[in-house]
Amino acid sequence: MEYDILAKQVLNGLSLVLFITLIALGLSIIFGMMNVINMAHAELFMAGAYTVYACEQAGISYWVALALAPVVVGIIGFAMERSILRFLYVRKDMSTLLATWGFSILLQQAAQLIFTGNPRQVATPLTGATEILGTQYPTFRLFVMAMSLILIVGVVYVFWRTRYGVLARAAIQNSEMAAVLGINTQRMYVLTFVLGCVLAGIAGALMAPIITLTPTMGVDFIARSFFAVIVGGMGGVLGVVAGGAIIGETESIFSLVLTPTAAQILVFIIVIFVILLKPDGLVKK
Amino acid sequence: MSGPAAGETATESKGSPMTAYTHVRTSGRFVRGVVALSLVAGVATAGAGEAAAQKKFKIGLLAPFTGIASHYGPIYEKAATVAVEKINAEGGILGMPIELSMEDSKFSPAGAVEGAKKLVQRAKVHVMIGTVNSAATNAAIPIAERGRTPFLYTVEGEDKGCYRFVFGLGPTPEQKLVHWIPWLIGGTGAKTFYFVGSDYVYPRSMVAYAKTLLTKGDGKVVGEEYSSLGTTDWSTILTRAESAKPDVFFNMAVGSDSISMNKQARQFGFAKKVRFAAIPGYNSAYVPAIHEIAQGDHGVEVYSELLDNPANRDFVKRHRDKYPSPWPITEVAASVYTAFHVAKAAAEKAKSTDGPKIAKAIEGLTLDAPQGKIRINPKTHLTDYHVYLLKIVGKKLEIAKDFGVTQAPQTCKK
Repeated sequence: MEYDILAKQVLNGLSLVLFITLIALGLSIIFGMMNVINMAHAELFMAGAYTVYACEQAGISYWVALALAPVVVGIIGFAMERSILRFLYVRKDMSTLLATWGFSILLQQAAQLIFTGNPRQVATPLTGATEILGTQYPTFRLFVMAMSLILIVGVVYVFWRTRYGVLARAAIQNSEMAAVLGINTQRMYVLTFVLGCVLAGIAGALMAPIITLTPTMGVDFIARSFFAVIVGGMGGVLGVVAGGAIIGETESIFSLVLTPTAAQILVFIIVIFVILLKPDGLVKK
Repeated sequence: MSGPAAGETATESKGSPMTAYTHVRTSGRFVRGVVALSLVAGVATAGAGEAAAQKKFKIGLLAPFTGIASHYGPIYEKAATVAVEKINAEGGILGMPIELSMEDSKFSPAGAVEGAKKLVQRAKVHVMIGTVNSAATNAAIPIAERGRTPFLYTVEGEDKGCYRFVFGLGPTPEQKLVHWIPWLIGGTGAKTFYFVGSDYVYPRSMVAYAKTLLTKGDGKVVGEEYSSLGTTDWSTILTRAESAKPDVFFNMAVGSDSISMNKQARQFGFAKKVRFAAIPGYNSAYVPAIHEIAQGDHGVEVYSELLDNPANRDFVKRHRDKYPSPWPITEVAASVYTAFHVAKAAAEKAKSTDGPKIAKAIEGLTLDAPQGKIRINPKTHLTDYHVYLLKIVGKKLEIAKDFGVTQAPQTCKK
């Protein structure tokens, strides 16, 4: 195999890993701390992407849109949490899952109404290629990879090195005890939920120039992130990074050697085996 | 599935659990229900008797108004409304105004069955028009056959087999490829081809057919790949395709997958080195999403808004007046519009609203349609169309070449 292809493929794999991990992080944080499986995560990703599209239509530059998207999606997340979800935590049943599923339908239909179902695309803000590892790679993809890496490292840092992180992890490990010790768990819940949503929104805005925008676009992307959370371990931030790496690299490497369809089958087999052998995921909380 | 256009994805996929997930989440949730639109404007002509004025010629429209291809619904509804208003203003069919009933096929076989039953069995329509994906079309066919109701399906698609009441008003991929591949070889000097498609029957059968055309000409396949529906990242395939250095990169993915691939190929820069072709990705329905990146590329269709014939001038004016838009009127919109005129011509030729008589009259029918002169092949029940080479220029598809009237291949064995 030529060196050039190999170098490109290493970058392709790395970009997939970073994209998956970035999206999975938001899911994992919300699930880990609040025990809420956010079924609307895909739609928050979509909302971030459509924010960029709406800005482009209004003549606003991509870079401003990239800053606006987390704000818009954060507001949506805040509204979701305050209006419905906060009343459901105490029930400790499937109701939060159903509620977020309801929100996913709501958001999808709202996008359908506002933007119609026609596929949309946004212009690539950085064109051209950059030389890296001895090969030419699309500059914008490299930018998205760098941003993803910064965000992932940032979130890991927040959870391991800041006061919020300590409190959040306390709430992850034992929310009742944390509440008894005087941690305002309600506030932690809002903060954490909005943080998870914001990550989905940024991911959507970052990916918008690479993929096609439709109201159902999030679903195709989100499935892999769910796998990353399952494989990596529910709740742990490092687990998600490990899960993202395994899912992304497996798909990427085997797509090159086998066919893309076979590579996906392999990913599913891995997921099944991890669930069988290590139901809590590869990395413990 | 047959000839889908933008936005089409999952329904038929058995290959990818991810798309199955899409399907589960989107189908059957939003029941649009019956939208019965009675267009009684410009009722029967004065000559028609009292009894005729009260009777209606009932046509059913079956289209996806919800689900992943819901953007098709409005295309169908608009073209149908324009056709019905025109025909009714000109005296209707057999002196009766058309009564249009619309049902949601939901882009799924189950939705199509439900919708077709409502139209054929409950509303007792005289003719049914519609459906986008083959899965839905194939599901609706038995209901039309049992109900002895002529059914005109309207999107590009592979032959559905032999039926007495079923007619294909859309082009087949063969009708397009039979000109496109030789043009790429002879007209552009291309020798090597790389095919990438969505992983299911429609792209696979198109590639198989394209390969037979390549071996007849001077072309060679240097790569053939499929990826499941719902693929968002094409980087691996594009990396591999780039290294094969093909003259033509033929994109046979469908819906938003096709657009993503098209776009990413440009970001990887390799599209500059190759000629890009896409089916259905360069159909008129895709122009709003791809025109910026695909300027100067060629597509092949059986219709262009710019065709200069009286039927098309009239159709375009009516459609534009009622629904202003900067985007091309699509091939499928023209098929829907023409289907209504086929129904009218056949019913008036048969002088009857009886299903079997109308079906008989459709066989061999010729019509001056917006697409040019068309003929419904009496044996295959498919439509002989003019096929055009179109070039993407600005927001328009300019006509680069008329390949002439082209028969759909005779595969119906009866």
